[in-house]
Amino acid sequence: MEELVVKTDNLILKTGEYRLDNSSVVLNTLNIKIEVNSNCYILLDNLSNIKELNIDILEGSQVKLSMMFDKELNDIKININVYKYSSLEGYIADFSINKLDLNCLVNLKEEGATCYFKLASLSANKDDKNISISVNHLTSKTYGKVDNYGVCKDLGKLLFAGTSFIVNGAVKSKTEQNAKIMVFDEASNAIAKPILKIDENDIEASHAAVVGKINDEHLFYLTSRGISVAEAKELITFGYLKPILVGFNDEKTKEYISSLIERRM
Amino acid sequence: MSVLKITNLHASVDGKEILKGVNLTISEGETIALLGPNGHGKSTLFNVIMGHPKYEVTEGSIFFDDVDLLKLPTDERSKLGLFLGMQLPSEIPGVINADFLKAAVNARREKPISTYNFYKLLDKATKELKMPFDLATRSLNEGFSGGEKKRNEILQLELLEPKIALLDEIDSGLDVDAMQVVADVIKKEQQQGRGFLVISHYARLYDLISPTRAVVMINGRIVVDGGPEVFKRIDQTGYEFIKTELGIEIEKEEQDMNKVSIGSCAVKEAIK
Repeated sequence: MEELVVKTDNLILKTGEYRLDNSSVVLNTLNIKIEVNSNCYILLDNLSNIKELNIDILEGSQVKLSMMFDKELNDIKININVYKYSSLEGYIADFSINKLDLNCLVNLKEEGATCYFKLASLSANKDDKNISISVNHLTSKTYGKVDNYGVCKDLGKLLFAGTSFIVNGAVKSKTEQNAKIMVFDEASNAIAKPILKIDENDIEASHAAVVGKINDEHLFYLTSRGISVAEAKELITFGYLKPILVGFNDEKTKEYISSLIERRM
Repeated sequence: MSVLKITNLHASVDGKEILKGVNLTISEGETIALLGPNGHGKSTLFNVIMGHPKYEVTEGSIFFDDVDLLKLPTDERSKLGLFLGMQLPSEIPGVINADFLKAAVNARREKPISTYNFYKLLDKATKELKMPFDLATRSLNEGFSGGEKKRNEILQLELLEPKIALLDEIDSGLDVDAMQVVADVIKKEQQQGRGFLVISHYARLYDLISPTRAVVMINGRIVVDGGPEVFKRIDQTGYEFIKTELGIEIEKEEQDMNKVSIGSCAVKEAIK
């Protein structure tokens, strides 16, 4: 994987695998342009210095954008434009601490643009996190799906927002938003509110929100096999957050995220 | 030899008493058929033995050798050597079956089993149960067919080596071949001296695993405790003899009916 040192705030990428971390970025705004017909994997490895990230995915490109955070972040804005017949797969493994305001907006600008976004977030130890992933369907035949999974415990606060917006004329578009949060204790605060804004009839749209505690039957099943309550909770939580690992190509990052989940739980 | 002794056990769920004074003793090496009509407390008894949080024990005791089970959390009961093969095993998304099985195996070992040895063990057990190995790498029971779930229960029985296993309708959802496979494993475990308390509504499983005793649970109590002839008789003639010979009225299973049914009249009924 190519390590990128960014000296300009405008980066142009072609097909390849790239990794950026705090040491490679000096600016807190970063603009990335993916050239036409490229196939990219971009890993933002704990890029906590950055405040604004703008990405343009030009025609006919496929981009897998994977982000992992485990430090303090505060605010981060991500704007992504997806052009004709291009696709974005976005993954965020959020284990940042303290306060977080993450705002991600994906514009599906031209026909055939698609976006799949998956996020796993842990809010613990009085963390206060607002996470919003929105998708704008600006033209016909665009496809968007967002899956947000969260675990909230030890006085943590977690809000999943995000709007899927289909404009008038964006016929045959399809959009889906799912937000699920597992809450460990009553003192934690979790809200999931996926919103659909639809201005066109000839489309498909769905959304789902679930906030709840660990299922007692699941806990009984695991403990009836001799597994302690603490370990059972860990297994269930791990199962909740672990699917984010598919978003990361290299074993080292996968292992790091797995160990993070284990440590934080 | 370990003995599970249940004395005058009363238990309720949501304030409704289900078990009304159960007395039953089972030793390692025995296989007992637990019979009785639906809704008379068989599954409740199993759940209470394992410590399901939904059930409240109001009276009586359960001892496993000299250990008071009612004072122990569920995981400790399992580690003592009890196993519950469930009628409807939970589907737990995201929890990989193999990770779960390994955690359960490790829970009863001082040193964790090595990954290599664990997979060797798992490979042998899945082959014996004619289970596709990929079931081990999937989410626990999620998307498993009824038969696969039941085999997965028996797989756990094999890996966890309990002293006494409680099997709740382990044969439902199994086709004839799968039933034979499951029965073969139970027979093998019987030879190793394990005890079994088995609920089934079909004589077929009992024919295959040859229980040493049969007990019948009616109205939340054990009312018959006899030899294998009991389940043969029930299979042929049903529970009628309980009433005619023992004079016990069999309570009908209560059907919880909605106060109102769908329709225009129901709306009026609901408004009242």
